[in-house]
Formats: sequence, structure tokens, C-alpha cells
Amino acid sequence: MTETSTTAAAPAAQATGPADPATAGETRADRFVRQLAEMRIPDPSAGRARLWLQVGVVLMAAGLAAGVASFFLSRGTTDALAQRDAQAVGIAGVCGCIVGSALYLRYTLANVLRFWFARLTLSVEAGPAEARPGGPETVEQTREDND
Amino acid sequence: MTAPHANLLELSGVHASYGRISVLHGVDLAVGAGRIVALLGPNGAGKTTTLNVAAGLHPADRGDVRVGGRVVAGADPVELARRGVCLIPEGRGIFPNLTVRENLRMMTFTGADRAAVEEIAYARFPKLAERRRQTAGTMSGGEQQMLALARGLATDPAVLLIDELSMGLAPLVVAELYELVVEIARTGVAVLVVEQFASTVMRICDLAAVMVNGRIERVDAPGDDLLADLSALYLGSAT
Repeated sequence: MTETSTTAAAPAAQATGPADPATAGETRADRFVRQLAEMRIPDPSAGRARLWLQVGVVLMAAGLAAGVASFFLSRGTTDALAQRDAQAVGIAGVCGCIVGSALYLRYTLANVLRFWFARLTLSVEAGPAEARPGGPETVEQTREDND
Repeated sequence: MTAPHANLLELSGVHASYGRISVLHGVDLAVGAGRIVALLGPNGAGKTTTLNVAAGLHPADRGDVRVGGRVVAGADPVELARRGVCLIPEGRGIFPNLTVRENLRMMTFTGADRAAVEEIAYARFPKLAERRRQTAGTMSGGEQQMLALARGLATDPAVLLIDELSMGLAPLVVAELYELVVEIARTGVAVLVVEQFASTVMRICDLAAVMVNGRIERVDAPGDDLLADLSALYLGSAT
């Protein structure tokens, strides 16, 4: 069955240009196997995204804690050097908090936008709400009936 | 050269979940070139998830998904689609606000020529040629499903994954569509069909896999005993 030439093979053949003598006799299955073998597959990155999200949360919390700690460090001493150290800790904390917030926002926003986009696509595919059975008009009608 | 009926799609020990809810518990399934395998089972068995995992749309937690003999964990589903893994989702997945022609043009993402895409679609589905300027959402269910199949064919698929082809369609239309699926498979395409109406798909498939609670319980040639088994499962009296 795989030897059967198909009209369906035409577009991909056109897309890849003139037939290469080395691959001229190959079936669709052969071409598929070859193309899959040539395909570049990146490392699964889902775990990486989750890791960055966790790093963001940790940085946010640690930055906040460092900021508060630096206040008490600075207040608890009259030594100017120790106070400057506390300032440095505080600034580092603020920076960490900002970076952490950015990471958190980036990796949560991506998920939110993905779901939002999927939902939007679904609602467009389903058509306008009025046209759907059980849409707003039907609901109104049911309410009136109940009254 | 690839052996006839060599497995173009192979799932071995595939586990998948949605968050903490585990859906697939070690699915083993293979579809050879030119073969039609039906995936049957009651609602919530994990059939659609299996298709999504096979198409690269949902990650497998464990186990291997081999497409064209290669493990494709982490592969971009768009890249897989470009190379010939085609999923026709439940609900057809067409753009109802676009015309038939525009829907077909969307499939040029594979790099295929626009004219060639239309030529293939209209040659296989002459009805679509008559309705090329019609908005897809205004066509009958059967015609919309034809458009979905035509869009799939336009990508020059090597692996065709079909989810609930018969949904909302009259039995005669379903039979007609399944005849087309057989024709497609004869050209060497590996076809995996998810279907709830077992008797319909049993007439055309080479193998039927029964899925229950995320596991493949039985893989067999279609026959009356398999159908009886399925009826028992659907009615909840399986042993």
C-alpha cells in the first residue's frame, strides 16, 4: 500500500522543490521517516518554565525579606559601616524582588494568555452567542417563561 | 525503504495527566502505514488525550511516543504537522467564519502551494468546489466534516488522527466519510480513529483497540465478540 503514489503527495513534493535523485523512488512513509529523522527536537522545556516560575517566587519572597531585614539591621546599630552594609542588602533585596516579579509575571502571564487565546478561539469557532442554542436570548426567554 | 505497514505511530507505556488528574496509565498502541486502527471506549476513557499526545499537543508524563520511528518528546506540534502528522479534532476544527477556500488556504502553512492544496481538496471532494465561496459555518455538518478531511489531506499526511468523525452526522453521511477514510488509508497513510459508535468504524478498520480508564484493555480484529465486549463496557457491566 505504501508504494501507491498519491495526489496528496503533490504539495509537499512541490514545497521541497525538484526531486532529488537519491530520494526519487521513496514512498510517503519513507519520506515521513526521513523528515522526522532530520527534524530538530529541542529539549522538553515545560519543566524549565516551571523552574523559572519557582525561581521568580523565591526571589520575590527573598527580596522582600532582605528589604525588611535591612531596615532592622540598619536601625539596630549606630555604626555607619554596618548601616551601609544594610543598605546594600536592602538594595539587593529590592533588585531581587523586581527580577523575581518579572519572572513570575512572565511565566504566569504566558499561561494566562495561552488559555485566554484558546478560549477566544473556541468562542469564535462556536459563533455568536445569539446563534447558539442556549445563548442569551434563550436564557432570557426561559426567565420570562419562569416569571 | 520502509516496510509495508511499518509502524508510523507507536505509543509505548504512555502516561499523561492534566495537572494532578492522571488520564492515561500506560497506553501501548501502534499504527502501521496504510492501516486503520480504531480507538474505542466509553466517555472519559482517555481517547482524545491519546490523540493529543500522539499529535504532540499534550506532553506524555512517561513512556515513549514514536512517530516515524523517532521518539518525539518535546517536539513542536506545528513541526510535526508540517511533516505529516495531521489531527482532525472533535468538532471538526474548521474556521466557521471563513469560506471553504480560505479554510483550505490556511493549510499552506506546511509550505504547500495554494493552488495544489485546492486542487487536491476539490478532486477528492467535488462538493467543496461548488461551495468554495460559501462560509464554512453555514454548510451542513457532513460538508463541514468533508472540509475538515480535505484540510487534513491538503497537508499531505502520513499519520492521520481523527477524533469522532461521526459526531452530529447522519449515518449515511458517516458511512460516506468513512469510505473516504479507507481511500486515504489505501494511499499508505496510517489512520488512528477515535470513535464512540463502534459498529460504524468496525466495518472499515483493520484493528480495534478498546480503551477503558486510560488503559488499552484489548486490541483485536473487528468482530462480533469485540462489539459485545464494548456493549458491556458502555453499559457498565464489563467483567
